[in-house]
Amino acid sequence: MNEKKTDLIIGIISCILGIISYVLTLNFPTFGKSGVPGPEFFPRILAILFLIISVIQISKSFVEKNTKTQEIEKVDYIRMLILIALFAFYILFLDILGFFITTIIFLMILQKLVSVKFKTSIFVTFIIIMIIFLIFDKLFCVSLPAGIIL
Amino acid sequence: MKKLLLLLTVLFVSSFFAFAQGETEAEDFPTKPIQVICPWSAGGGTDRTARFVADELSKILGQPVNVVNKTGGNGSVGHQAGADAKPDGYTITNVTFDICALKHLGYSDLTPAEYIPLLQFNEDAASVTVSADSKYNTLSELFDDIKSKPASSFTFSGSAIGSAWDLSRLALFDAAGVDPAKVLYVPSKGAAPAITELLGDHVDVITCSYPEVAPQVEGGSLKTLAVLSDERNPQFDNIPTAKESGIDCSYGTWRGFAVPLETPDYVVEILTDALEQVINSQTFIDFMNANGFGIKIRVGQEYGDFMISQYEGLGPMIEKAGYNN
Amino acid sequence: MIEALVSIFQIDVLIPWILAMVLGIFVGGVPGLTATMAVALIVPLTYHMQPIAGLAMIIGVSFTSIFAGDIPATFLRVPGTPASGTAVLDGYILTHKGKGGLAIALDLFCSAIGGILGILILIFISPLLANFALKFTHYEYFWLGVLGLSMSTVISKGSNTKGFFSMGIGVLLSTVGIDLVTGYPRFTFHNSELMGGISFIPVMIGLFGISEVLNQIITTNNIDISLKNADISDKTKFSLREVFKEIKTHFLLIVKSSVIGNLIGALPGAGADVAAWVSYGAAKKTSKHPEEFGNGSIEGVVAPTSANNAAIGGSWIPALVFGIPGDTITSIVLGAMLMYGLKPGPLIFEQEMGLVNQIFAVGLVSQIFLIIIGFAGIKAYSYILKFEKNIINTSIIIFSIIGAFALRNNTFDIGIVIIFGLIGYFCEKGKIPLAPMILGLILGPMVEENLRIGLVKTEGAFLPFLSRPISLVLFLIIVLMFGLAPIKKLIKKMFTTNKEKK
Repeated sequence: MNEKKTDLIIGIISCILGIISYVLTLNFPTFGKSGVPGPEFFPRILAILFLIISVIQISKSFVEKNTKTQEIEKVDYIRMLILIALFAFYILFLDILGFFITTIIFLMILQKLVSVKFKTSIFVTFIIIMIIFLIFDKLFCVSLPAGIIL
Repeated sequence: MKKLLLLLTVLFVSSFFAFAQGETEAEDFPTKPIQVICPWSAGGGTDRTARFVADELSKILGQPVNVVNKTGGNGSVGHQAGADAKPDGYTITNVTFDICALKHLGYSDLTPAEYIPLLQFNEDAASVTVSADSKYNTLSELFDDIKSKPASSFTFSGSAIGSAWDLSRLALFDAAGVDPAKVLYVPSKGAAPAITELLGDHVDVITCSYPEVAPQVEGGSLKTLAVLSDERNPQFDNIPTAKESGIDCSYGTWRGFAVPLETPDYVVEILTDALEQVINSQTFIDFMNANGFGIKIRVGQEYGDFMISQYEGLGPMIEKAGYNN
Repeated sequence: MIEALVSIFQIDVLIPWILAMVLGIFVGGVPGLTATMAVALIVPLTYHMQPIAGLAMIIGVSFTSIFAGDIPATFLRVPGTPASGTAVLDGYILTHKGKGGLAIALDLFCSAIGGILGILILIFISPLLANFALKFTHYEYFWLGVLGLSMSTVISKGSNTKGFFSMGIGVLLSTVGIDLVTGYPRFTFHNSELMGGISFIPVMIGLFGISEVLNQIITTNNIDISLKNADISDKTKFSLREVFKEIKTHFLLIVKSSVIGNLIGALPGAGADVAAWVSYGAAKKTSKHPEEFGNGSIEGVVAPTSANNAAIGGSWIPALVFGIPGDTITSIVLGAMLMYGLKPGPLIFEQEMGLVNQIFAVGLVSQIFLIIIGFAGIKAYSYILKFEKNIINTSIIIFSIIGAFALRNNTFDIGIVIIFGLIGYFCEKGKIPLAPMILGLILGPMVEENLRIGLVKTEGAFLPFLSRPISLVLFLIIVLMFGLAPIKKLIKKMFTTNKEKK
């Protein structure tokens, strides 16, 4: 990705952020006494900041020359999607399946993804779960999510 | 590889059964660790009492009792989690005064009616404190001046908007017949920053519980004018009540325990009995005294009725102050 | 004082004390476990000990954990504690340059020196400093917040607009939740999790730690990275002589940063995290080699770590002098003192001078223990680094997730860690600096709340923000910091043009 394109993307994101945060502040109450800024004051300043940034970034992207920088890294997009799906699975199922099952599934798939040997990954999963259980649950009394079934 | 997976599945399925069995054996409570949800952060007053009670409770019930801090949103996060928990008695909520204000403030739809009350064990009255070199010596002197001086001559502080000490201030002004808008209110994250502000002479008056300001009062830098309770507290009986100054107001915060609705009766009974044992013990009384926490016990229905009546009373008060969001 | 020194060397003080310090290494080394959690856990155990044993445990655990937070930050880019966010900026780069061992050893020694200086300030001028801290109110905290926020332009590399963009996001995130000034819930959409706000520790772990792991997993052909990580454990070696040489070279900076850290720690409204960021910015601003910051600068390692350990001593100042907590840990300490039958507050210096001296002695001796136990901690971490990189990455992800959960026992924070891991990854790709976002999230509320509460007090008048002595000084510092360079340039320009005319 080149400079020009990233600047444009940041400009657009900044613009969207600015508009959304401004619109959301419209139904904030304004503080009773005059001269005292209310809860809408700061978010609105930020919204304006975002809009200014977006103008700068977008105009910058037009001024810049389209320099083709060579891609140094190759990004494995399939891996990335699987990873995101795996994270989504973890968050969604943690409260249903409970900490132990969800974490075991999560760790096994994750290690498969980064090509750790199967036998090693079972061993690693076991060790990690034990460490987390001992440190967090036993030592620090953090009750790990239990889930509905377990 | 497949064999291993099979083995794992078998292990899991069997563990399900093991746990499921444990739960079907009725009348046998508790068979696994209990957690107490504390809606306030670790190390605070509520957390410390919760940890103490949890410790004592586990000695009686023979199962570990762990305190879990779920903080944020003026207590709404923890109270919500406690009300949503599985109604099996293994999750107890350390309910505090704020549960009665949450819905009025627009932070949550929770009301005290969403729990089965176990018991209340603590009540701390608010007190009115000024700097030691302030010219006021009684609450009536202070209020006479508030009435006679122009608006915004006084700054008050004590806690966040809509929290216990702010609401105590509103109740006090209500009882004194003065519009609370006549003074400026400086919101703070809690009593400690408010005390700091008072010590630095950046505010004039703060409302918070007496034990919170006791070190500074005894050290001679602050002065407590009155405590908002019906009678003087035997632990600090040199502090007059607001009533003695002609302002009939008693207000403060409290702590108690509750479980989610639909928790089986026998579980409620076991928990209530165990908690009663804890709070009637000498070690508990010593603990509360050492920390300066007041003891006030209301059990079961009495506690529930108290919460509901307070919840209903707060509605108009919060609306009048313009806090309803 | 000597009496106090002797009295703390008894078995029933030493054993819990050292155990607590070892625990501190754990707490700091695992992201999401904080010193506050450890202290809250320890305190009930100490009710039956003698007061100094309990206090020694608390002091010990706070010093080791704040140092140990820098270990994963330096080696793995995962900040272990809130105050170790700055350690990823230069420490991690140094690790990649093969100087990780030097970085962490320097970090350890500077932590100890910062700790000693902090305690010395506590011993000798605490009443003075405490009274100074009391003069701070919303007007002063507002400028302090602005000063801190302005550091984001100092510390960010590259484009300033991108730095502002990042900071803006951080500040915007900090406005989520219940507004302290009016009690109005902002951007919460009636969701009880959002009502609690976005806490910055999971954001920080995500932005720095998870994003780096993602980068390593997703980028398949990054020879550079795999090479860099291949023998990271060998790079944890260092020579003590080199460490002492660096300490000698930067001794003034260490002292300066410790003083800044201690002062900020002494303010009840700011803590070790703010201290670390401000001292990092100040070090860069006054450095002869500001371009090295963020590219593996030794100064960038030394300054924040001296400051955050010195801040611990600072936080005890208002606690001992006035009985008001300087941070969450000292607020637990004040509660614990009641249980020990002590009365914290202004009277403690009169009635319990022996205990106060013992506290001072514990603070000083803790620094020696810190070095010994700290080295053991570094050693232990080096073993972990010997594992296959993929296994380390897997562990970082799961420990970050569970750590984030443990902070508030909330699955919502797991989502935060992951989302900010992805955001951090894309920001790095777009060359958006991450540090300003953290800074915005930490200092946004400090600026906003203090400005608005200050205006509530003055009923809308801004004058007190400038007319009070300390606030004026803070304002002038900000003006000088950012105005001086352009003015100098201008004068220079004027002179050169004059010469040309002649």
